Amino acid sequence: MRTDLRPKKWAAKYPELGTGPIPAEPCISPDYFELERERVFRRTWINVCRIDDLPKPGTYFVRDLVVCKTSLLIIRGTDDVIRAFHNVCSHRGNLVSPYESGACNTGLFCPFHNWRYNDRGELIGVPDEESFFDLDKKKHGLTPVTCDVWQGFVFVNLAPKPEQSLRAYLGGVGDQLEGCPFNDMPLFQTYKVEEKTNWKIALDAQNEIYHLPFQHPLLIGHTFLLNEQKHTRLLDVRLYERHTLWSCEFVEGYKLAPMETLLGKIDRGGEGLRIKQLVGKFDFYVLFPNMVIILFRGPAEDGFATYNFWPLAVDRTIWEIRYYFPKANHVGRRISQEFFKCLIRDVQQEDSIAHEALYTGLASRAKTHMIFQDEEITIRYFHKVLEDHVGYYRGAHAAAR
Amino acid sequence: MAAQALPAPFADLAPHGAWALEREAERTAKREASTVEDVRAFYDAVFPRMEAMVAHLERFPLDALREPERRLLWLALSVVEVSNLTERYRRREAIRAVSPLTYRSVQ
Repeated sequence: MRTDLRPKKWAAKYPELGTGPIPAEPCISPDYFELERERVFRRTWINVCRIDDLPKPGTYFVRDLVVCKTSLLIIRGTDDVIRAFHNVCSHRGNLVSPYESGACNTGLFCPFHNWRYNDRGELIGVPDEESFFDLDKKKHGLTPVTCDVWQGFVFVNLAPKPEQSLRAYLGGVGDQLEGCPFNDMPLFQTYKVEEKTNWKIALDAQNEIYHLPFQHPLLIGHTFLLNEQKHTRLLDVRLYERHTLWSCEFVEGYKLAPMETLLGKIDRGGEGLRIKQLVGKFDFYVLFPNMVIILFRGPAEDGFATYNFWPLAVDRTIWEIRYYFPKANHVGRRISQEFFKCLIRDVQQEDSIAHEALYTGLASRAKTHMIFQDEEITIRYFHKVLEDHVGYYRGAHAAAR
Repeated sequence: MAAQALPAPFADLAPHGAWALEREAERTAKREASTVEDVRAFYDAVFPRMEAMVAHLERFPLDALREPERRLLWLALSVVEVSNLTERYRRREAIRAVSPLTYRSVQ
């Protein structure tokens, strides 16, 4: 065990952050949500998919970015370049692809009047073209969106001219995860769940381990490292320019459930993939604004997971959960991966009920502020970074903070 | 009936064949539609056989299982599916979570 079990280490590491309460209003305010659309989601780099969603050249993936009131087409061209466009036809604005994904090596056809685009977004076919007036197809390709790829993760930026490259935006997280073998861990499972909550409440609820012994007592309350009083302690916290990392360890020799004991016998391990970039045993990165990357150490092999919190409205969010494992090379490994997935899924179903209850409670306005302890410092920092972008309290609401 | 068969050494598990479901969403729905007593009866019958089931399945490449072996794997995955309920929660009343059916599984 490398974890320092003493309390109040992180505020000492980052004293400029303060220790006071945080206003609840941003989590329930429709006005704040409108500002987030413009000042956060239209100006920052947003992860929209992974290379797994574009399995070969000539395939596409559609991401409905409701918070930005648009639908995006992410195309891996036959030239193997990944480009992003608004999924909107130049003719009359219909959505070009009504599907979530597909092949486009013979082009994309708008279902309304069969206007045809190639895999670079160029307009290449218009039925009854001679009936149009001065139509220059070269000027009417799909509307491009700035797009870049980091370690197989595809990001877009809806700003007309992004202030920073993707790599500069990722900053220290990009340095820390340089060379991480993400591409050796294919997508294993995706879940989407729509919750009656604000996107930040859901993200905040995941962004700490203080709650584990209480919210998940029967599933994983005993798994993560605890001090003598049975409270969780983080191994490390790192606050980057916008993003954060917390890392923790597991309890060594905790009591195994019968299924876990069985897995110890039947899982011979795989190729033994290990992630050298792991700081602890469970590393939780928040990539501002709405993405999480989790790296974890497994008994036989490592893996990773991602979360994307998709705001639909101030009080509605889709939580997209994805697990990535090295491909199972034998049955015991496959069953072991299924077990881990089911365990974490059941934990997340306990989290979902909390996400909704938290929103209901805050929306009552019975409380004006939230109180965070030292081990919840990454949530405190997230709200600071968010407000730095939104500026709600810099303007007319300064007195309300 | 042949399409429903399990490998010969596990023919005695046929009464639990309804749990041999290919997709996770189907396994979850079956768990949710069953009483805890029914789930426990399935788990108690099949869990003790898991080691032998896996030993049998390990004789075949994972990507090319024959139909009876595929069904045996699905049966094992259903045991995994229900194990949190039988081993950790034990009672439905102990579950404080949203309905699993709200989780849209995309495989």
